[in-house]
Amino acid sequence: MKKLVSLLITLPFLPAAGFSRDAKTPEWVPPYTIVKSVEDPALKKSEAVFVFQFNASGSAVAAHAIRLSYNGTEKTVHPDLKGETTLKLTPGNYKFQFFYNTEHLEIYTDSIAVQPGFCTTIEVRFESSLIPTVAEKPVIYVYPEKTQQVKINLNVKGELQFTYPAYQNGWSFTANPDGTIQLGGKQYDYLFWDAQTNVRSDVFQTGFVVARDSLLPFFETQLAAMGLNPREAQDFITYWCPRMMQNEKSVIHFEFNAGCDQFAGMEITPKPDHLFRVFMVWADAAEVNCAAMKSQRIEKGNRSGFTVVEWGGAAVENLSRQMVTK
Amino acid sequence: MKNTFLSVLVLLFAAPSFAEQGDTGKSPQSFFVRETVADPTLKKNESVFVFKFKINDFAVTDSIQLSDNGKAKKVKPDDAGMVTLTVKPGKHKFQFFANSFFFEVYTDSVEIKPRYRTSADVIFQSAIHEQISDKPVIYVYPETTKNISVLLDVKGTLGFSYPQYNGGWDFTADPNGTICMNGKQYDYLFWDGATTVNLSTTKLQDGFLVKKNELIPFFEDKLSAMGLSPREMNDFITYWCPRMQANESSFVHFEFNSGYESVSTMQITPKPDNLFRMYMIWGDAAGLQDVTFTPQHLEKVTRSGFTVVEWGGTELKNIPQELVFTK
Repeated sequence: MKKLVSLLITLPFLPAAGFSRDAKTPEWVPPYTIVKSVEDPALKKSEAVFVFQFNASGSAVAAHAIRLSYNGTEKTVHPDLKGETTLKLTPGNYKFQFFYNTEHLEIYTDSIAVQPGFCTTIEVRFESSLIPTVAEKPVIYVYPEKTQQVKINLNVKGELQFTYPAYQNGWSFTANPDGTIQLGGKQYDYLFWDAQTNVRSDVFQTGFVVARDSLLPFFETQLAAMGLNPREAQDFITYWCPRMMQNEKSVIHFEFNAGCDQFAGMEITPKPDHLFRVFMVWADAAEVNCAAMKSQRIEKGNRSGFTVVEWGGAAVENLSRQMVTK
Repeated sequence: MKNTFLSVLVLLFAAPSFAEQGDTGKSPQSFFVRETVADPTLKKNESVFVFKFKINDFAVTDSIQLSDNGKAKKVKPDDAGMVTLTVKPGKHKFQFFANSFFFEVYTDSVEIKPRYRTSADVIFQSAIHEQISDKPVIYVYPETTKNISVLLDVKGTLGFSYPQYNGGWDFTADPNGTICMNGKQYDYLFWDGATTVNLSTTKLQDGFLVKKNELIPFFEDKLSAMGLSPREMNDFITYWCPRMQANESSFVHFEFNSGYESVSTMQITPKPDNLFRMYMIWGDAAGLQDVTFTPQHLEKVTRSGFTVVEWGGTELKNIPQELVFTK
């Protein structure tokens, strides 16, 4: 339930006009609806009842625990097969929070009043917190201490698309200390892959807002702080900046190392002394309310011994509906 | 006039057939017969065509090259863009050419009866296609570490550059291609910009139709033939293929060296022994299944002495396919 605190989504009563202006955004459906509120003669005057109907992606959430809080009191409820659960409270005003799992956005309600002896039915719709996107151009640079055989396996959380050299149940190759790779009689400078994958819609809890004019110094500083070498930094900058320059401001979040496993796990044999992975998720800052975003700590790769470095990223689009944070 | 004619058929009265072909490469009608009326003032073995030449809604008053059943002549429209042509009654096929900035107009066979006067509009469509020149990268390999200056003249608007282009790039380059500029190290010079392609003079059909699953072997083969290094090939393939894979098949045309100059020119000091520039123009080949592509001659880099290699490219979108490709 601690997670609840950090996951803020828009309330249904905030101006929806801002959302509907973007034609590409799907029709916005509020995450909860008060279906009815009727007097129940079976209830005492000191009692009131809420009936919650939980669904996710159109199906009832049954046989799953839901974390619920009302006015700060936490509780786990187990909806029945119809996805319904009943909560008996005293009459008054209640603010609820609902949490299903990390793949769905948490739901916050405004204050809802229930009259003495009344039963209020609320439909609660959990929406996926994953935004489909393309993990673009992850490139992997391999720097062994001496020329040696290396095997890399990816465990992509999604669908692998383009790879170069071709990924055939893994990449098995000879790597040289200067980073060149020999595979199938050909020479390469890095391993390339991209994939259809998902980004969590609450990804911009931490990160940076960078104006167009500041992109170059920003990346030069941050990529150097991460320990990327000039070659890696230049490949990164020339890949992303031309596109990011189209935005007045961009919002940027970096995932490092274990954080990159949400896109693809990586298994390297023999195990390198140091593996450094960075994955940038970015969007047009005009599409995201970043007011509550905290600045993020930059991790640094250690480049001693047998080192493997990977960078990639994803542009997230059409996320205004989900990304507005309070 | 002979060679520059694009073999494009503009079907008489056939505008609906273009419209039916969907969104891609919809071509506006270029030849439009307005009226055909009897003219008793004409002789029995005479007929008259009155052409009105237009670009958008403006009359064309510059000379037009016209061919009538293969016979070429130059005509000068009046202030209203009108040209009167007296012909023998019968069938006539016309071609009209204004200049290389516009597509040539071809007509089907137009029949005219004796003592008739046919008025027709001839509309020239611009062949200049605006696009983004993506990721030209310049690799610099001197024989010894030396100071080099590169001046770029983009025929359009320079967009992003890295290292930043401030009226020129002045740097020190090493034989392995490493560039030192303002205390920082780079592996290549990068720029992009908004440029144009002239679709009437660029012979896109001299090129290749490449299926999605053949992209990698295709580029490995062609780029090796051009003499690109593994590093340059890697960068090229990993830049373009992910995008090209979105198409079932793509058309691919390469411009080399002087052919690159309509996009940008480069002045390098000191002058390199060998400069190789390659620019790929490509697009979705949907709708081009019946087009025959003639494999083009590929030029090759000479890697002796001080060598500079540049590659770039552009994806053509929303081009008037009917005007550009002959089936």
